[in-house]
Amino acid sequence: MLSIVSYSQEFSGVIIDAENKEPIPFASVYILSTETGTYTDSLGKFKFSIELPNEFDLLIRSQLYESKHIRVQPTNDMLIELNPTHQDLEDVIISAPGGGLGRENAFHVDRLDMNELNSIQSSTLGEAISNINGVQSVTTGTGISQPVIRGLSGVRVLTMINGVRTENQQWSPHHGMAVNELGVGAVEVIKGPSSLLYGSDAFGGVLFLIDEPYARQNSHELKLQTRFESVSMGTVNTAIYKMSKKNVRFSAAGLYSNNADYRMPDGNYLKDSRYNQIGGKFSLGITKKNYVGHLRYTVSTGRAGIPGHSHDSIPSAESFISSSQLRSANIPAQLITNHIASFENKFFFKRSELYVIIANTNNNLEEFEEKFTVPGIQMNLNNVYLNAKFIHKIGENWRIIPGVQSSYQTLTNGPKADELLIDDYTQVDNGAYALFAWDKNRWTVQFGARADVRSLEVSTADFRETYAAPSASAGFAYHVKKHTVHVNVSSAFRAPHSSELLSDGVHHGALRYEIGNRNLKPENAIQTDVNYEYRGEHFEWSINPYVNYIQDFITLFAADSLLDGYPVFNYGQIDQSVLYGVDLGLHYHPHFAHWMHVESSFSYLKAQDLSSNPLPLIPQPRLNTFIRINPEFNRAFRVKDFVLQHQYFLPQNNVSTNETASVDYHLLNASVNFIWDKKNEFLMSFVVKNMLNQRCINHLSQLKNIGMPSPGANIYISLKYNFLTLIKSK
Amino acid sequence: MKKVSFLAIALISVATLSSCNNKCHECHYEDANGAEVELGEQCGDDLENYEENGIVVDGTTYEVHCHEH
Repeated sequence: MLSIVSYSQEFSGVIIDAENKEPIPFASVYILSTETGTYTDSLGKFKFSIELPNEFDLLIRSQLYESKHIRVQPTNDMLIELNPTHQDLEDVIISAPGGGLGRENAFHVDRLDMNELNSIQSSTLGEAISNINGVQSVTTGTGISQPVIRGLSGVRVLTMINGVRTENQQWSPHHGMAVNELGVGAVEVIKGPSSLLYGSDAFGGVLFLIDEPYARQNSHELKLQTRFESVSMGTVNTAIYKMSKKNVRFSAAGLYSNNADYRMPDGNYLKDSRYNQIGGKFSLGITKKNYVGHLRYTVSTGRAGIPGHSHDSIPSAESFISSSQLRSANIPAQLITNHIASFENKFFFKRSELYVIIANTNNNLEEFEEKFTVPGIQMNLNNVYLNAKFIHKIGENWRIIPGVQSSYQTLTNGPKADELLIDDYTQVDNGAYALFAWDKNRWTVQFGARADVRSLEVSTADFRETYAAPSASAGFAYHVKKHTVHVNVSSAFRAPHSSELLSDGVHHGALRYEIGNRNLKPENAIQTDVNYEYRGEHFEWSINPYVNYIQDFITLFAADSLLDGYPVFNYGQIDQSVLYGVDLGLHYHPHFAHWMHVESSFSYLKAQDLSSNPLPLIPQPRLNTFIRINPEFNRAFRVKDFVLQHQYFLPQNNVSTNETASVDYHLLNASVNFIWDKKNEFLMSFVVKNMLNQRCINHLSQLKNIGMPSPGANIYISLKYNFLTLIKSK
Repeated sequence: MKKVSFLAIALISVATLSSCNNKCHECHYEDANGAEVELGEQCGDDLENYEENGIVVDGTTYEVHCHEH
């Protein structure tokens, strides 16, 4: 007779205050290696009843205490002490090799939870991400946006979701992000060249999106949210179910959003700025003694109007605006469907971890220009992706992390399309790297090198080319008491994209005729980045200067001619260019008023070639200030916080020959959030954005040239309901 | 609490169902004299057929447009 024997291992302990030895209730206890979390009870006790590796990384975090990252073995009744502090919770960096606290990583990474990014509600994920210092967005209305990291965007920015490289034909600024806000828990941004860990295209930076964690151990969670915004009469509805029971964890989520054309400050509506989306997400996680696996699948499909287009022979401002607000599907528009499927595996050995992820992403883009049922452009981009790394500990202080990454990408044009902008292509990437890390006391040193080979074949254009390049990074972090310094030098390369090599046609989204250049060479970048942070009791500040030197920067040059009635632009290269700037941050929470936080950040970037000619699409310098007030009420129904945000975009006068200067503007936003916190949580938010109904046109708006502004005053109402049920032990 | 949860779910349902798209569009073509000739609202296969093949009038094929002006 067969019998299946399963066993659980128990790991338990108590978290206490290091000074007064009192237990700390509701502290987060998270096993980084297996991505399993729980909270301490009212007596500061925690317990895990799952199979665990012989040794693992444990992170303990609690408000008003210094976060702790320790490597432990599963035992019972472990006593862990936390030191009190008035500082905010320290960031836990998932994108770093091996993970850990921000100060333990040699490369500075910005991390923000979605709750922080949406402390003043955003309409889209792209808009939320733009709150990160040094990050802005290229936008076409509100429905289409692409992140810009330190002035670089599109194919120069890599977007990863849960460790999977996503591709969404980002070579055009009119092709929006492949992911939406559904189930995203946090965003990490690596600013600047990062080829060592992420390969070609991680040239301007990496956006690392991380799903919300599974439900806490042995519980069910259900989150319902509905949101309304007045400016587009838009709604976003999401539902997320999560379950965690012993060694199995599961989550399923759905989203539906629908927005009409948005209202501009003058009361008119921006024609075709409407967009809608439906999406779903599923995850299944299994934890065994020496193994953790995650099976994930995300699907989304959406239609986004392309504002700023007209079929009139002589377009005027009236061609782009309407006095009535419309929602029905119109043209021009994009219909975009994304599928992201991945299987992530972690194997634990005595002194090592093996991480393997295989994934398939598919992006189908149809642009409807003149007809509703016959697309002008129909392109399907499929990407098979492999990412494997081995983390091996040598002695007490050294880790060596060799890794490989491969992808097989195909672009296929649909037979129904009227036009062909890029020929079908096959692109194969292979890269191998080795990273060495040394940690001792206050120091972390990391350095490594990588080799990449990309082959691109476009058979219809008789084009076959192989691009190969090395890249390397080296850096250190030094942490002592209230001071942390990160210094690193990193390089990256980017092979020219097929659109840059072989385009030959009208790009309706950009209103221009683009001609590629088969002789383009790969771009190379090397950045020096220094970040200093001071974290005092009541005052924190940081300064992060950087210089990024780029060789053979690929860009469009305007030709003095027309083809098919559109201005002609040719792809070419700038031999040498330099991007330099600074990100500043400040956080003040006075001793006499711990319920108040004043946070301010400033980013400035200048980008030019060696003849001092500015590069195109460089963001306006921005001063972004938040004042948060967290009243200390003890009622079940209470005000959770008030938030006031002021954004000042300084003028952008350093513009390339294809652009015009942009004037400065202010935005004032405010939010009040209520919470009803009994057995379950009910949250209500009321938000007003652009309170003064200012007419604003950002330098990165694709509608700037036709003078179409961002939305006017916008009121959001959001309702969230979070259920939590613990699963009873039998 | 149950009432609140039902209210939240009802709100979500109403908001979701109140924003459906229609699949029909007003179509027209320009005749030989440049005059706009309305074809009325076209839906489904008829719409696709007009957009793919145009309309044949007295042996001449005219392109049909169905977008908003």
